[in-house]
Amino acid sequence: MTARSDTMVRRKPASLMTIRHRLQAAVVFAMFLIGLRHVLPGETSRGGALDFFCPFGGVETLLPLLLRGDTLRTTGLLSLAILVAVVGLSLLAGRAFCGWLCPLGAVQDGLAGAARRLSGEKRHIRGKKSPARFPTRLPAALDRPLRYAKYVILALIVLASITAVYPPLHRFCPVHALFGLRLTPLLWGVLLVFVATSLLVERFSCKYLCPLGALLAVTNRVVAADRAMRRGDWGDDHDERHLGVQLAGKVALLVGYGAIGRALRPSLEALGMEVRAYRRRPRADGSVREYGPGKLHEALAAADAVVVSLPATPDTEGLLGAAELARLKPTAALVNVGRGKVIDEEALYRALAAGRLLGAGIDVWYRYPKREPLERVFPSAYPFQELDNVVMSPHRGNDVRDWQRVAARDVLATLTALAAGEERNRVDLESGY
Amino acid sequence: MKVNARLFPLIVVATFLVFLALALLLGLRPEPGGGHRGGQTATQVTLLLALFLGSVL
Repeated sequence: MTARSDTMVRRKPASLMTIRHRLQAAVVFAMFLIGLRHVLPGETSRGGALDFFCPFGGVETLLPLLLRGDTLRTTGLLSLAILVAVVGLSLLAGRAFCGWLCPLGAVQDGLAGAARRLSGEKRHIRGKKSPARFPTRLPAALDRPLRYAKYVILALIVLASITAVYPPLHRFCPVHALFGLRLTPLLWGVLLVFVATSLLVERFSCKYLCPLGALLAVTNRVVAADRAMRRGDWGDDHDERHLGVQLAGKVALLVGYGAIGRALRPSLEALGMEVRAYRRRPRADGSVREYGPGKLHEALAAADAVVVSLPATPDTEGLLGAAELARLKPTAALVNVGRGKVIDEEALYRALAAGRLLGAGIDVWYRYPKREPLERVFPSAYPFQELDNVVMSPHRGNDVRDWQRVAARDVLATLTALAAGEERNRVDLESGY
Repeated sequence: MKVNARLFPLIVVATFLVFLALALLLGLRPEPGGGHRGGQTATQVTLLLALFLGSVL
């Protein structure tokens, strides 16, 4: 048994991204089978139509069922049951359906991956991976108004369904174009537009056209005004959550008051902020108000902006967990330029996703890519990239053009101090630095 | 409650299936021949809608 165990090759567990891709592939395959059944003679009238398995078929047939007692042709009660499952999932797990189970989303992801490869992502120039040219993002001036298109489409389809016999969308539905296997000239056009837009702009249909996405956005309380605010459009002046933040007179808490914290202080004070600091050994006579261990909750509760610059040590790992984040004001902003593990990953994601914080700027992460070749990986097991109240940067707080010169000067200053018998930048190895 | 991130796919699929089963149990079942004619299901759908609106609002 022992010998067998020794010779067994331990398989690395699949990453979440891999699992997602496999699940998406399974959904697409299932849709392909449903599409095959759809074109079999007589199946459409026997409940084998694509619309029958489509949650949006449930949206289309809802009003006719409530008003007339009958479902639209090619839809049925199963469409409503699947709609219930999709909306139920969105209430518990946000847009998980769009990312994990939607066949249209899966095909768009596949096309986006192909666009990246075709537009040069794999090429390496001087050891650096060249960025893909496609899929790209639309300019903000175009992106902003287009985001409302899906709400308009949803409203039009719901209105049209009242007097319809067949689902209003099914003549130009991209699901029919992709999986229906019986294409009309109109559906050929839809297919071409779908493929072209997906190659050029990542998840174009999801962002701008999907009426089911519009419905899920409503169930997630992601109202249009909130989206606008997150892109810098101030929106409704009467809603306090949509207003900007006046930094002057507010409290900035530096969690970690080493070289980075001290360097930040003049900048924050120049903005008119009152700077406070949390450190292991607070000084009563310090020039800023300092908090020590045991006073962290008190310090967080008073802060409007928190900047974390702590290293990852056994003492600091998970220092800011769910209980600590809960102490922050809902209007507080959090910045982490220290180490990811200082803030509990799940607690931070949940606080941001639930809007319990104004937002976060995160430079240091929980998962990093392998180099040579550079791996494509999201920086956390949680989808921070889907949150609009997060600014993400790839751990490049020190990536400035002349950082080598700055570092060399610092080393020189340390050596000069040592030669003069002075200590400089002493590292506390006992604390796990 | 701390949930292992690796369980997320399982949670997504399980939640979807649980809600689907709930809807089927509440009477939103496919009928032989497809489609639905007759008014009694409208009451069930109205109740479901009320349930969802109650949880969302």
